[in-house]
Amino acid sequence: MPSFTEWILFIGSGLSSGCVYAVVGLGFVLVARVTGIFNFAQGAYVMLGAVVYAGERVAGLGAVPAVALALAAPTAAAGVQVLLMRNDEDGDGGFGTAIATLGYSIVLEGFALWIWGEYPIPAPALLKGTITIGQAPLPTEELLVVLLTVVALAVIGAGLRYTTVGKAMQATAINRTAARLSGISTRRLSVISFLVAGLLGGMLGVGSASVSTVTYQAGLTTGIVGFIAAALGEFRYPVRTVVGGLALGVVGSILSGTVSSTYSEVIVYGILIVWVAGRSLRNADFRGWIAGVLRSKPRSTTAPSTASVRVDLEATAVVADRVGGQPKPYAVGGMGDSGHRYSAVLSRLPRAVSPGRVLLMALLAFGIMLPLVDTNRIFDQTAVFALLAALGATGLVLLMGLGGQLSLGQGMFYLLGGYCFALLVASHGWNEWLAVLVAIVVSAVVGLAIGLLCLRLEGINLALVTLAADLAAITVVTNFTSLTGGSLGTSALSNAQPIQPLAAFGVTIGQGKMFYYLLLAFTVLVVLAARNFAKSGIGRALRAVGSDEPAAEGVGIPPVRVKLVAFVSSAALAGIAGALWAYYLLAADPGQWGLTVSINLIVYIVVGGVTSVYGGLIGACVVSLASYIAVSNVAPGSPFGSAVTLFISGGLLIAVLRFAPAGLIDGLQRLGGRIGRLSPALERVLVGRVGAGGSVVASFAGGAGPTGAAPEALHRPVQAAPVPRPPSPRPIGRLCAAPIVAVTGATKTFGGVAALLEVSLEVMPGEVLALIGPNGAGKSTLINVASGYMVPDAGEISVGGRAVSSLNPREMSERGVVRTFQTPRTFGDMTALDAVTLAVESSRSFGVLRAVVRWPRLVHHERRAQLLATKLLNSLEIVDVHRRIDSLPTGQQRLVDVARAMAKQPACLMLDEPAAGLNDHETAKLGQVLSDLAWQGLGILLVEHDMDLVTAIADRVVVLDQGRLLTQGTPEDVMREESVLLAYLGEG
Amino acid sequence: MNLKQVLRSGMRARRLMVGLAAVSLLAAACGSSSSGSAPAATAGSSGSSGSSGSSAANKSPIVIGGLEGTAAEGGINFIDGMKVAASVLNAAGGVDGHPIKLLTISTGGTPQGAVSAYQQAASEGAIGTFLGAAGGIAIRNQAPTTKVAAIIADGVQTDFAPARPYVFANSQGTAFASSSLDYGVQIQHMKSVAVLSYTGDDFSEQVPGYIQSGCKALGCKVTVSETAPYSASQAQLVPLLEQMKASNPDGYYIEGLNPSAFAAAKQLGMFNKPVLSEQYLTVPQIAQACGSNCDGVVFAGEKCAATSLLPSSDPLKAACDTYKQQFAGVFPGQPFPNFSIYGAQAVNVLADAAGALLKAGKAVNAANVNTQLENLHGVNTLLGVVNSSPTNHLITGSFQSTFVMLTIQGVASDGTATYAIAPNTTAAAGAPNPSNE
Repeated sequence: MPSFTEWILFIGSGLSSGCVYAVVGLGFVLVARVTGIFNFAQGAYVMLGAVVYAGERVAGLGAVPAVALALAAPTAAAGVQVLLMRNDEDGDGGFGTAIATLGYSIVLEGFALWIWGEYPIPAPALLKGTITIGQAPLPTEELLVVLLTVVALAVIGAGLRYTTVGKAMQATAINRTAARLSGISTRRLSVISFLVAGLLGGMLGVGSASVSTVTYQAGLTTGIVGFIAAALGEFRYPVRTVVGGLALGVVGSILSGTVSSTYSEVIVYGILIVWVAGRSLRNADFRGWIAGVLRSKPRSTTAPSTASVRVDLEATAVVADRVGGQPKPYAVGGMGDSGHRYSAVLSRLPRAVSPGRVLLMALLAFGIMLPLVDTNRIFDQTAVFALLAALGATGLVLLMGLGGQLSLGQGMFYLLGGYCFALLVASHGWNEWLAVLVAIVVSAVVGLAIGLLCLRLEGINLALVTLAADLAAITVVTNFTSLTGGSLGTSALSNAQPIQPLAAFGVTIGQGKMFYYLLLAFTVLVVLAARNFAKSGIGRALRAVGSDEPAAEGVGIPPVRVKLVAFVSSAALAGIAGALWAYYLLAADPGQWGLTVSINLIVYIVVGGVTSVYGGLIGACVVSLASYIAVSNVAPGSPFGSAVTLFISGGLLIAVLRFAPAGLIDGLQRLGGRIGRLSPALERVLVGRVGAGGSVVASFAGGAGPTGAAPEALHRPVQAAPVPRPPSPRPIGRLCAAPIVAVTGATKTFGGVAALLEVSLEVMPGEVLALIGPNGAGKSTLINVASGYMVPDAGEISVGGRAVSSLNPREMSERGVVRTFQTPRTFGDMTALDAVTLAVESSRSFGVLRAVVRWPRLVHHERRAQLLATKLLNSLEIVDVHRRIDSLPTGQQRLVDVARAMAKQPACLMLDEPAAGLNDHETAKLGQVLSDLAWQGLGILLVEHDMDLVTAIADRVVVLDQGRLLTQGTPEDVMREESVLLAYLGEG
Repeated sequence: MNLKQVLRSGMRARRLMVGLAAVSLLAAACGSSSSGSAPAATAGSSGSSGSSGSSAANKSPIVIGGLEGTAAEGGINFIDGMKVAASVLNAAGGVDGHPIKLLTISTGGTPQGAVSAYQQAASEGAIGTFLGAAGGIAIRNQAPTTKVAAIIADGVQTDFAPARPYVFANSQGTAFASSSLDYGVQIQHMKSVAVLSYTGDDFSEQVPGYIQSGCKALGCKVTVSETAPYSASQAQLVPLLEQMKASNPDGYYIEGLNPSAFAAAKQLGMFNKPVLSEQYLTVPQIAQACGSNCDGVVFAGEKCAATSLLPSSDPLKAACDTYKQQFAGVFPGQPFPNFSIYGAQAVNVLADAAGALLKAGKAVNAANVNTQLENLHGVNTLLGVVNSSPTNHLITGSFQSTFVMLTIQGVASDGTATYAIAPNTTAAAGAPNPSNE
């Protein structure tokens, strides 16, 4: 048991370390609150302050000017950083901006290495000597660090609370758009927040320089732990962040002193993982969650009583075609066409020769020719490691680019795969191929375990957990010497034997040209498999989840399962890359797969293009080539030479995110588009279709959709002649006596305010029930409750006579209740065709292997789904189906949302203001479609403010006011009621 | 336009701020000295096809690869030594008229970079290479297939014991740790020792094991063995050192890679007992970072680090003094980096091997050089008299003859340390033979 003096020492030292983490975390919080950006350069500010101070003192500068310069340098660096960043007025920095800050951190590290070298720099203390607390001697400088932390927290807290700028920052943190509209210059506040963060970093750097190891690398570890501290404060609460940082320092110090100095870090990371995971599991429905993850197919899609009224999708599309008398805008056969005629038309068109495709082909040709050209060994090996990186980066693209999940621990799976292979082969004499297989399985299993734990989490939490897991894995591998050989690696184990060359079909594959070609072929296969994955139903589902998870769930996609597939696939790819890496270097040691691997992989996919399956390959090749060229042209041993790879990685990251945020591939596509505007012929060749505009990030191969270039006829604009409104509503034919959806006594309050108060209504099959009321009446809340997006505080929801109040949106959609949203949630970065196809096929299971090999039956189903989706979209007069949804006019986006909902073959369709933003013609068309759906037996709940539409198609109208049901009846009766007029117009 | 109007203008404000920031950063950079400053007269090469020195004959060059990169505790200093040796050899006419061509290739400080650089050197006809960077472990796995001698100075025992094909070491490995222990036990009469070493560094990770085995041989006890990341701060090291102190040993072994450890030891008043370390403290930058915190630390240092303390009869005194003068001639104004002797020695050994082959009329190629390196007998080098064999790939002199127990008595701001012979021993006595040899 430690003595009292020892406790003082542990806590005092822990506070000193913790203060650094706390202030770094504070910097994170300040910037994140105001700008929404996770600034990974925060640790680098501390490093810069420390190295400038120490470096200047070594150079002979006095304390005061050295301190001034040390404060100015990181502040200036922060200022330059914010000015280099995109002027994102919407404020949602997103992962791209966070990764740009990582690039900036790398550049600062390179700068420090170049100027001050790699060795620790001695830093004279500002306050010399020690003070004794309970017989424990503590450096006075450590107390300075604690004091600086307290001052920083006090100043920032007071500033946020009592100054105009601080209040503006708080307002910006709550609602950036509203703040901007109120006249607050959010850009100016962003600059201020970065400058303050830089100053904070510099301050701590100076204060802690004499009690820390001042090197160019010090920022990385400090930044990581500070990031964890900020996460503990949820990137919002300064006090919690400081407490979290201090706790990390103190706990780590106590663990080092009492339990284990070797594994204290692992314990801290483990606590973090448990804390983060525990938050998500606190209110989890375990049974439902596990069932949802393990379910290979959705449940039977409808309750028996609603089965008879489920809409036939094809019939809907054909009927919708007929309604309105519009000529079909495309030359596709009638119902039953399997898409073959469509493909036949397309196959006669010239394929696009886009700049991105040219780059890819050029790389492939170069890769094939490389061993035949007399290059030097360094270049040859650069190519090998670029391909090994591309494998893991491609997996990361699926996870991050498509699925929107930020993982900072991909390097961990390289490490697992590499060690599995090396230990099995070198220490236990296994066959190499079998060892590779085991490496894949182990990586996948670990990926599954981490995914099951974390993929329920949102936002930055997965990044935190994967980062912590990566760091813990490196620590374990480095210290578990008896198993892994420690820092010396597997070749240091006493039973280690040389790894023999791989052999296949009698051919020996050493580490030379044969291995390179094997690796190249395998990489090409992996990239093609990834492309097939992305183009398939599961790829669409993953993109939908990455774009808008709640909306994806509402379409019937199991988000956790889909993310899990991506995470496990990504882990497996990294595992095999790690195994091949260990084979190439003939051993595994922790120096090969440090945190730098995880960071480099992110650099590669961002540079290449995070939303393209080719992004990992292209990024790895481009960055590796750029680094090779730079290093080759710098004198070995020169200070700049040591730093140049850091400048290349960080600089490329910053430049790409600044000027071509979607990566080089998208940048090239845009360039092709710009050049193509010179003539239609050029545009057809370079982009693949005329009138494309913008980029086609979501679909790189062919540039215009999964089956290649689309026929021009699809892009002929629809004639805008208005269609007269149909006559008064047709007679209501009730197909069954029971309602499809019944809401009984629903109550929902928010913080004491009743949004709904004992509201009851029924949606009958074959009926259009309109729900109207003034703003704030509770209409959207009622739809949310009725569709599973909210759980009522009281009351019951039933579908087909069965209570469903606790079901989530996916389960509701499986029971035939589908909705649209007031603000369209249509997975904006997908094309209209992809989004609706996704809804059509979401009821099918997602077979990864079949998708990867493009199983013919699967391809047939996909094409059929696309055809049906196309028909649905055309029926709503959306003809440019290959256009990104977010590039469509708002009205058309709403119609896409409606088409998506219709594609689910609902029994009950709930529409939240679908006519908002539509012109007269579009509104009329929508009304016709809805009427016809109701004719087929669909129940429709329509929330609308367009009274003409309501009058034209609604069979009944329900009026809400202040959360209560005011009245209901036919449209004519309701419109005449004085209470309704009063509700809308108010008293007097 | 007044300042307010300028500042209101977004574009101009940006230019102004970027300019101010650049000035600020430049001011900080310009005022600082680089710890790896380039030599005034580069005797070495640049890129991967450099040449060294002058006045070489017109015979085919003897190519030697110098693999350098960050994360090498000797860092650039290793390669500087190679440049000095090559320059001196070429000034004297090369090896039997064949000039020494030094290929300096960057490893990037990574294992894969080290392998690339090593194989590149092999492809450019190097008869041998010297690695002055991280990556020795990766290279030794490749050496049997690449078949070019790799002399490694990372101090990893398993580089040379057991002997590996084409892998040689001119660094002593475990002896650094255990010789200090021998001094502590035999001369300072320690019966117990507490140890601090670091993770993430291949040399440092061997230390605890060798202290344990050394103590077993000497009859002492390891009271506690702590490990920390080698970049740990003073605050982070305090709990570990406090544990060491609380175990009440007769002395401490604190691995010298992290200067903060000595600061933490001083804070805790641990210098009332002997503090042992190893030769990292002869690296000027590490000594500079340690400063007065290192005063009194005892370690086994290369004799070249303290030639002024050596008796005239010591053969290494003259050799090292000569080398220091040569270094000053090639790199004037630079503090003498002791680790450079490893690079110089590697070049000299390879040149010696080449010379022997030429004398015997044999081809100077990688395979023959390798054989020659396995049969060195009585070769005088800056690291003592070398005797090697096919089963002993350690191409450095005996520890006792090559090293001497030193203690630091002050470090100047440029890293120049003032050494004294450690208490109760003499320069003539050299360093104790490592107990676990």
